Amino acid sequence: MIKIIDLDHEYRKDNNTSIKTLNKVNIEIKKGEFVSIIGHNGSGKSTLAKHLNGLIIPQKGEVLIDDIKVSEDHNIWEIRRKVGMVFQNPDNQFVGGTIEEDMAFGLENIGFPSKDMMGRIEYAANKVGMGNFLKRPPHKLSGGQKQRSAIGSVLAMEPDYLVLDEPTSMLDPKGRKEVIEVLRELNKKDKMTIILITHFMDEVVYSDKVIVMDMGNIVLQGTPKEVFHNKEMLAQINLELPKAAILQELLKAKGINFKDEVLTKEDLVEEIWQLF
Amino acid sequence: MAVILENVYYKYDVDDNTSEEYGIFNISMKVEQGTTVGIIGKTGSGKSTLMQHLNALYLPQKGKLIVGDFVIDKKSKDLKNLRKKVGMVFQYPEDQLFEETIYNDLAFGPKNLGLSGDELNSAIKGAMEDMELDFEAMKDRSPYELSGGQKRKVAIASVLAMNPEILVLDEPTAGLDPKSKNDLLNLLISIKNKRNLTVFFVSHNMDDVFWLTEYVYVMCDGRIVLEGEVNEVFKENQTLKDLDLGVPFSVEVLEHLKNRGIYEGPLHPMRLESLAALIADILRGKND
Repeated sequence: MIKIIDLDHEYRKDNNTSIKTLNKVNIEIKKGEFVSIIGHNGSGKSTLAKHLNGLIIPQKGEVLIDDIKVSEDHNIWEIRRKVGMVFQNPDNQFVGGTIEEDMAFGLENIGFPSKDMMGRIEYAANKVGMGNFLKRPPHKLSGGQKQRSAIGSVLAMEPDYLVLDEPTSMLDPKGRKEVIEVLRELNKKDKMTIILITHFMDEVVYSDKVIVMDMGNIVLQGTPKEVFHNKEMLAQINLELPKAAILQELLKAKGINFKDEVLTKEDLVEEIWQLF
Repeated sequence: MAVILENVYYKYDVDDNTSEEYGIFNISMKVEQGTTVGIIGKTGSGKSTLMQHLNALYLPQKGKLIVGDFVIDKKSKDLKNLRKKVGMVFQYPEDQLFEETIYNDLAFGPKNLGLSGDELNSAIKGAMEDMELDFEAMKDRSPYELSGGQKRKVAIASVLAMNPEILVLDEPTAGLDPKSKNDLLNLLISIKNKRNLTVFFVSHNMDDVFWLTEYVYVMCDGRIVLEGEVNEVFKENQTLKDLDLGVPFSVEVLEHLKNRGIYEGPLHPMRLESLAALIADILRGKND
């Protein structure tokens, strides 16, 4: 379980002003949950994420990973083993000449026994559907494949939690779909805890919980349906609904009455079909 | 400025010399002054390589480009004047901000191109105003203090400060939240009209391509595999899917409705408002 307790963060702009990027944030994430964090640029999402594996140490408040304090220096390696991070740009995350080398890099760093290494690498690569590409250099991979490999390299370390900061924002539509499918699969089959930060509203509809941030505060929290039901609040903080929900709103304005609010095009078509 | 490409060919040096896997191969295009064209294709399809030919960052190994009065082929030299005319906004352009003040950042490009004094000042002021950045209030501030969206605007302003006639936008909204994204695209449309620019818009977002562009080129493996008026290209539902590209949301919804036997018409892309009107008509039984 991840517990974020009264977490504050501010950075000093100059000698006289500091800017608060997190304001008394409290979150609990249970093992096996798929949690999405949304909010506009500068809302504090990434700052929050960087606290989860100690890339930023809490200034005030606490982050507990399975009851281990992120604020205490000597815990940092234990925390980083537990919480794997994947970032936006797949090209910045490759250190090896091939996928295999890249996956080995992290394992060597933690002194993983070399006789078991290949097995672990194959296991992780298969999880992200890259088992047949182990000898490939990164420049011969598509964006989606690179990002899946980055996820694989993190999985090889067998983390308990996977944090992804806008992992699809530089990918083409197919790459985006691949990455989201891998995440859903990991969550469903392996009960991997996923914390996904994204700007794509269509990506969050499958999560167990959505957390909405604005100016360092959590302003909404709940299931995707609960969160996207708060249309006025979302509009106030300039967040959009998923496209299917926008279309449903436009149809409602034309006097069409629906039984349920929808978030995906499949559900919307189902609703339309029932009215037809 | 109009842009013409005639059999432009550029092959990257890879291990296998005969391989035509990486690069762009025999690309021909004709883009009229003042149009916005979309360039789509999956990662690695050659879009960026193609765009980097427009201001001669790459010179074609075969074939040529005619950009306004400039002819670019493998022997071209003295391309400074061309580079003034073709502004390139790459992905995450804010990564390229480096000066201490916004003014200096915007001045860097035009100064290098020989602008100074009042001319320089008005180019910078004009660019900032077009990007809705307050010149007086912001010129002496550090670009690093700005929010992500504002930084992006400054970076684009620094391209506009060179007064280009052609603007290449490579995923200009990547990483922006939906509101900032729509604001930026609306702003770019109005700048395009005001400055009468020819725009090349590279994007993975098919709805944005449908919204902004008039004509679309679809790339795959360094080749143009489909081109045409935006409405025509997005009717090629299956082709686009086979190329691992998405289709606009409206087309996806219409396709679902068609599969359910609710809709029988063509799979045309359209804005959400028109799609809502169409579906409302179907439900009211007015569709025939």
